[in-house]
Amino acid sequence: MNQSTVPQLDLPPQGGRSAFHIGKLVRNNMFVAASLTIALFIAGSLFNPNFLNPQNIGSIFTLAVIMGIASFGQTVVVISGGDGIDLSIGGSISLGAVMSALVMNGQNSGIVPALLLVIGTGILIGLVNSAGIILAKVPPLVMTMAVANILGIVQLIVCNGSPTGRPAPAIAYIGTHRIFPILTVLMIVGVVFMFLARRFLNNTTYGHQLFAVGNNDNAAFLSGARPYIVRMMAYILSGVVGMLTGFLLLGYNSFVFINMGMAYVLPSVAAVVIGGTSFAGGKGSFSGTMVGAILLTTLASLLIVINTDEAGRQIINGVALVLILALYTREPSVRQ
Amino acid sequence: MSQVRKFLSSAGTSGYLLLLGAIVINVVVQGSSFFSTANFTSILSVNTPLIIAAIAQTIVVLNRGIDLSVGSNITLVNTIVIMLSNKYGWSIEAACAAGLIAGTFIGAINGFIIAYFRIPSLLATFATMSVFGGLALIVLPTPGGSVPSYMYLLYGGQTLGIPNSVFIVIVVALIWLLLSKYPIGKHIRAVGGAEKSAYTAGISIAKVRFIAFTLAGTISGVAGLCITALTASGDPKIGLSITLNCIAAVILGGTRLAGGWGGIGGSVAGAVFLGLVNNIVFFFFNNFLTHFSGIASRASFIQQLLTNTIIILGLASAVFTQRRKKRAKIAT
Repeated sequence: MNQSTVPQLDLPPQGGRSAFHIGKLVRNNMFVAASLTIALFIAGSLFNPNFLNPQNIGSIFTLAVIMGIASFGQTVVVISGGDGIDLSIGGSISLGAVMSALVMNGQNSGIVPALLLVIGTGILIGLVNSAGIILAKVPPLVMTMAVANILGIVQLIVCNGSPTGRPAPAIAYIGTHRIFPILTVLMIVGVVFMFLARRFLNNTTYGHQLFAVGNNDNAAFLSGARPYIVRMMAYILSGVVGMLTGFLLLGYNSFVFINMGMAYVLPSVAAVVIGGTSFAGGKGSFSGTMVGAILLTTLASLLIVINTDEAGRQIINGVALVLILALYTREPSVRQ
Repeated sequence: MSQVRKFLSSAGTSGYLLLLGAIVINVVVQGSSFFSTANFTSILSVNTPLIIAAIAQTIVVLNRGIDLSVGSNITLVNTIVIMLSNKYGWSIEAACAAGLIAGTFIGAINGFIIAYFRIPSLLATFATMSVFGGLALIVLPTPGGSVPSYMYLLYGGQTLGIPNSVFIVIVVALIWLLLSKYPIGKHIRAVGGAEKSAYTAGISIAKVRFIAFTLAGTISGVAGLCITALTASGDPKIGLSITLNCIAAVILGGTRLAGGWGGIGGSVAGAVFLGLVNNIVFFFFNNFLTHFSGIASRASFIQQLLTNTIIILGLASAVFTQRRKKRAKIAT
C-alpha cells in the first residue's frame, strides 16, 4: 500500500510558472515523505515489535485514509490560490459527525437523510466561507477561523450540549470491518476516493481551471475561467468533503463526542505542505497530500506506542511541522 | 471639512466608527446603567488582555506578518506564572517577571524561525501555536491555582475614576508610539510596506522581522499577566479564543493585512468593539428575549452564535471600507 500510493508526477498539463523547478520539488517531497514513513515504521518496530504486525499497519492506513480525505478540501482550497486556507474543516468534521449520529441513530433507513443533510450543510458552509472571502474580501485565514468557531457552537446547539446517537449498522460496517488483518473496508474507500480525486483534479475542466486560477487570476480570467466561481467551488468542496469525513469518522469510531474534528486541522495543513502543494497556489496534488497523511498518521501512531500524552503529541506535531516547513516552504531571500 | 476628510481617510476610521455604533447600541439595550463607573471598569478590565493582544498583533501585521500563536503565548505565560507561584512558592512579582521573560522568549522563537528560516509567518506560527499550547498543558495539565488577592484587586480597581487596567493599555501603547519615533519602529513599518525598497535602503530585513515578533511576544506576555490577574487562576486553554479575536480587532481597526499601513489606535477600538458586542448580546438576551422558552434552554450557545456572527459581519464591513482605496482589478 505504502509503495503503491507513491504516485507519478501530478502536475496539470499546462504546467506552472516555473514547471521544471516544481517538478523536481514535488518528486523530491514524495520521495522524502515516503522514506520518512518507512523510517518511522522501523523506529516503531524498535520500540514495540508489534508495530509491524499486519493488524497495526492496517489500522495506521485506515486512519491515514480518514486524514487524507479530511485533507482533500484543504488541498483544493490551497491550490486555488489567493492565500487560500480552510481552518473550518475541523468544525465541518465535528458537525458532520454530530449531525449524522443524530439523524441515523443506529437505523439503516437514516443513512440517506443523514447524507443529504450532511452534504447540504457542507454546501452551506462553503457558501458562507466564500461569501466572506470572495464578496467581502475577508482574508481566508480569518474567515475560516471565524466560521470554525461558529460551527463549533452550531454543533453544540444541534445536540443541546451532549451529542447522542449511533451510526447505522451499514456505516459502522464500512468504518470498522476488516477483510484481512491488513486490509479494511475503509482502505478500499480511500483508494477509490484517491482515484476519483486524481481524475477530478487532472482530467476535468474544473480541475484545469483550479490550477489556472491558482497560478494567475487574470490570465485564467482572460482564458475563460471565472476565478470567483472556481474559488467558491473550492470552498464548497472543502465544506462538503469535511462534513462527509465527519460521517465516515463516526462510522469508524462508532460513537460521537464534541469537537471530534479538531485534531484534524493542523495535520490537514501539514499533509498539504508535505505533499508539495504550494501555499502560493496553482501547484500541488492530492496524491502528495495522501502521502503526507500516511506520514503524519504513522508519526501519531509511533507517539502512541512510546506513550506520549496529548500535550506531547501537540508539541511533536508542531515541531514536525516547523521542520517540514523549514525544508519545503522557505521563501526566497529578498536579494533574489 | 478637510478635517473630516482627513479623519475618514485615516487608518483607524472603520474601527472608530464601529466602536461608536456599538456604544450607541449598547446604551440602547443596557439603559443608563451603561454610564456607571463600575460598568466601565468591568468592561475594560475584562477586555484588557484582548486589547493588549491586539496591539501585539498590530505590530506583527504592520510588518506584513501574522501571529497565530498569540493565544498560546498568553496561555503559556498564564500557566507558568501560576505554576511558579503556586507549586514552587515564588513570590507573585518574581513569577510575573518570569512570565514576561517567557513571553519574550516565545516571540523570539517565532521571530527566529520566521526571519532566519524565511518560513511564511502564517504557517510558522500555526505550528508553534500547537507547540506552545502543548507546553502549557504540560506546565499545568488542569485548570486551577490562585494568585494573591491584592493582584486582582489592584488590577480590577480604579485610580481617580479611571480603571487601573486602562493604565496598562496606555503604558503598552506609549511604548509602541515611542518606538515609532525611533528608527526601529519606522523600519518595522517599512519592511512590511515595501520589503525590497527597505532592503535597498540598507535595512536588515531578518533583524527587523525578528525584533517585531519578539516585541509582539513581550506584549502578548503582558496580556498573559493581565489575564492571570483577571481570572486569578491558571487554565491551559484560556487563550484559545484570543487568537482569532485579536486578528479580528486588527482588521476591524483598519490595519492592512498586507502590511505597512495602519496603527494601534484602530486595533484598540476594534478590540473594545468586540468586547461591547459581547456585552450587547448579553443584555439583549437578558432584557428582550427571556420570555421565549425555546431559546432559554440554549441561551448561552445562541448568545455565542450571535456574537460570532456579528464579528464576521463586522469583519466584512471593515474590509468594505478599506476597499475603496484599492485599484480595481480585472478579476476578483
